[in-house]
This record gives sequence, structure tokens and C-alpha cells, in this order.
Amino acid sequence: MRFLDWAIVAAYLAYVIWDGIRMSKHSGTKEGYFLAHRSLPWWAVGLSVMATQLSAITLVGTTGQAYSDGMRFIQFYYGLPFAMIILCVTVVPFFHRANVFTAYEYLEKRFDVKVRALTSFFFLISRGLGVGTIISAPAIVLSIVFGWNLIATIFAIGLSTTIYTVFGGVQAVTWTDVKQMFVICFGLAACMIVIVSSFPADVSVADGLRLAGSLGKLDVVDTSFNLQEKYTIWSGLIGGLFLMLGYFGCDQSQVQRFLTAKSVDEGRTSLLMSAFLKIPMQFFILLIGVMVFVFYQFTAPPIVFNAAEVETCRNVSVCQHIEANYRDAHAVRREAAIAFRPELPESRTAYLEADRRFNETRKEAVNFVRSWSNPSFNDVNYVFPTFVLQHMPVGVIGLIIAAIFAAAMSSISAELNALATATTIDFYRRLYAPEATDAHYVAVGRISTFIWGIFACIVAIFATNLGSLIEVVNKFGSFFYGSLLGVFVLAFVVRRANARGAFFGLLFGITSVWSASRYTNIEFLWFNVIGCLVTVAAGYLISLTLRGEN
Amino acid sequence: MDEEKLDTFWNKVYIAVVITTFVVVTAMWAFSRYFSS
Repeated sequence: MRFLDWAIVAAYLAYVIWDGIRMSKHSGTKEGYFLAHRSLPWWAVGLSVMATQLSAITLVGTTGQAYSDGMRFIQFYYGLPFAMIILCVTVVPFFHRANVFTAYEYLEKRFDVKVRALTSFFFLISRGLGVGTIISAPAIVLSIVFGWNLIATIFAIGLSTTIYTVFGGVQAVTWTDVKQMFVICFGLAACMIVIVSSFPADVSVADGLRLAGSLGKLDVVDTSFNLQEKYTIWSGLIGGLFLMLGYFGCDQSQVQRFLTAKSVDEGRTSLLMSAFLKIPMQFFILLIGVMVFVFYQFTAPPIVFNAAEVETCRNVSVCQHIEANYRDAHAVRREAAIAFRPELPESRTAYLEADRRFNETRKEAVNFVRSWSNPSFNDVNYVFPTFVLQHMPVGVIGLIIAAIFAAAMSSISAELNALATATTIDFYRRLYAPEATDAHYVAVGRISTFIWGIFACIVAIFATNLGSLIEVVNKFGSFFYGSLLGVFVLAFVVRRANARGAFFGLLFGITSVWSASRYTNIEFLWFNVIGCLVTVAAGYLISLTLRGEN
Repeated sequence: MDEEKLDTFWNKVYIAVVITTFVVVTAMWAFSRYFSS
């Protein structure tokens, strides 16, 4: 990185932190600190909804996922527009009219305090773990850039974000989200232009897409129905629908976004923004990952993108031999890629064979590196940052790093603010100090934000080797979202449901998801369906059985 | 305070969301097929 890159990163970070802290003047009351006085316009809330979901993991993890696995991941989002419609009809008007601070506060009005406390507790666990992985993604990038210790980097990111969230509250979260969305879009567009312009002179964008297409990297619809297949149209439409309903309708980090809207209509419009824009935007982000893959058809990629892992065995003679084989295999594939003509079957066959040989050689190399270093290391998260640092021009590197950093900080701040809100409103105010002053609740909110920031940093340390970061977050979520959604279905839809049914139904739901993950090979998106259905069924039956006792 | 829009308005918006989603997914599928063949 050159001086210009550093200047861009430093200027953006300084602006975001200053912008967040100056919002503290609007955050003197609990209504202002946690809900921005319910005064924000739909477009700001809508951009904040998208920015909260589109974290640094989306840039780092999704592009890496597209590089290695193609665009199949897009199917994960197919249920989102339908989830948004359902939420606009049900949750948005319910929560707005109930005048609540948290989604779980509504459950006390419908059931009792135990159901509220239990759902809020599960939210705190799932999001507390989730925000840790959101911190670890940019920490990986920065540890590569600076050569810093990863743990020190995690604390540097987590604590700096925590500081401005502590002061600015939800106002800071929303308005920094709006600004970072523009920076992210600008960074992504610049990134795509640079990648495409880096192809060899005689290779067009269409040629590159045909190479990727011939290897199945552009597949966006898989109609096979297999519960053990991670991304199919069915897991996206059904499992993804339940996950999105749980995430946007029961997760305080998203519910808090539309609770800050001026009215029910503005809340609805803010959610529908994602319904229209999320799939095209995710398609574009995945396409960047595919274009990085195409780029590396013509330029030799590193054996392992995580340079630190390769260093452990670089001086071993066998490693040099493997590296030579790897370079040869890439040279053969490069020639086949340049000669590729989709209308000629023999050229296609030659390219596919060269790609197969290259992958075998790489697999052998990766296994060797694993045998010398950490056997569980994951390379997916290192693809995009390594590419940016090695191949992007001066200025664009700084812009993309700033976009990753800012995206992470805004998402982290939204999560921390939601965790602090649930802690303060659902536990501290409800169970310990119901009659305290606004200033007291704001002070407790700020202390909670700080504590959750420290907790998230500790989780982040353990999240760096858990696999693809985007999947780690969704797996954490899928463990709880379905069951939490089930409780809200009981509240909104099942008239006969009572408090005891909802409470034990939730416990049954969580247990069923744990059993499914422990004893079956069912992929994580289906956990949302299982958790929701078991919670609703168990909650309904228990409500019928114990009706007289409630 | 602004009056809430009627349900008939929102129903049209929801239908537009469904149609748009269908069109977008179909377009992505066509894009994928075009470059895979």
C-alpha cells in the first residue's frame, strides 16, 4: 500500500468515527439513543437495513465463496423478497403499533415475561456470537495488510467501533450505514472495472464469462431437492424464507432498523427496498468473485491465498517440487483458457481437462501445506483481500480497504446497539430497575454496548478458523432463528397459544435444531424450517394440553 | 401525521415485488445458460 491508499483509509475511518460520535447530541433520552425518536425517513432506514446485512463478510467471504464455488450461493437469497412481503403484512404494523423498543417486548404483551426473557436471551447468544465473526473478517484483511498480530487487529477494530457506538447510539448506526452503502457501491464498481480491464488484451469479458460458465461457476439455479445439498432453489426459497423471516422479523438488529422509521408505511417501504435490490446486488458481488477466478486463469494464483500458512513450509524441498508442478499445471490451463472456443468441443474438453489437472495439483499442494501448518485453515476468506493487495492499482486498494473497514464497523455497531438495547430494555429495565430515569437507561445502554464489544472481540478470535465466514454467520443464525420465528408465529397466528406453550415450544425447537445438527447431515438452511415447525407444533400442543393451567 | 396508505395500494406493491423477483431470477438463469452453453 502506498501513501494515497493509507490516506484514503485514514480519512474515511476518521470521518466515520467523528460522524458517529457527534450523533451523541441526539442520544440523551432512551427513545433517542435506542430508537432515534422514531423519526427516520424510509430511504435512510432502507439503506441501513441493507448495510447492516451487507457487512465486510459480504465483501470478503462472498467473493471468496464465488471464486471457489461459483454463484450457487445466490440461491440463499431467493426467499428474501417473499419474507419481506410477509413481514410488511404482519410484523411491521404489529411492532409499530405496540410502541415497543425490542421485538421481544411484544412477546410479554402477548404471553408473559418468561417468554420475553427467553427469546431475548437466545437473541443475545446468537448475535453475540455472530458479531464476533463480523469483526474477524476485516481483521483478517488488516492483519495481512499490516502484518499485525490477528488478535491485536481484532481488538483494534472491535474497540474502535465500540467507542463510537457507545456515544452515538442508533442515530450514529443508521447515518453511518447510509454513507457506507455509497462507499461500498463505489468501491465494488471500481473493483469490477479494474478486474475486467486486467484481462489479457485478446480476452473479452464475454470470453471470461464463457470460461467461468463452462466450469459451472455461473450456475444460479439448482432444482435438485436434496436436504444435504447446501444451496438449491428449494433450500433458498424454503429454508432461506424461514431464515430471512427470523433475521428481519425476530432479530433485534434488524427490527430496530424499521422501528426507527417515522410510520408503518415508511417501515414497510424500507424493507421493500431490500426486496427489490438485494438479489441484484448480491449477484453483482458474486460476479466480482467469479471475475477474480477468471483473472487467475491468466495470472498464476498463489497455491494458498493465506500467505502465512505457506511460509511454514516454503523452505522444504518437497514444497518447491510441488510448487513447480503447480506452476506447470497453471501454465497448461492458461494456454487452454486462451485457446478456449465454446463452439469447438475439443477446445472445451481440453480446457476442462486442464482445469481438472490444475485442481488436482492444487489439492495436493494444499494438503501438503495443511500437513505442515494448521490442518483446519480456511483459504476462502483470503482470496479477495490477497487479490486486492497484489493486483489493484494505487488508490483503488485504499478505497476497497476503506469500504471493507467501514462496512464492518457499521454492521458491528448495529449489532452492538441491538445487543445493548435488548440487554437494557428486556433485562435491566424489566427485571431490575423499571422506574429509572432516561439518563440512567442511556448510561446502562452505553455500558452494555462496551461489554458486548469486548465479548464480540473474544468470539472473533475463535471465529477466524471456522470455515467460510459468511457461512459461519448464517450457521450461528440458523441455530436459533427458526425457533425464535416459531414463537412469533405462535404469537401472531395461533390464537390458542399461551405463555407456557410458547416457552416450552421454543425449548423444543432449539433442542430439535441441535439434534438435527448433531445427528444428521441436513444442511444448515433447513434448520430454520425445522426449528420453526417444531416450535409451532410443540407450542400449540402444549398450549392445548395446559390451557386450563395458564 | 401522514395517513397510512390503503391495503389495496400495498397489495399492488407486493405483486410488483413477486413479479420483479421472478423476472430477475429468470434473467440471471438466462445469463448463466447463455454463457454455459
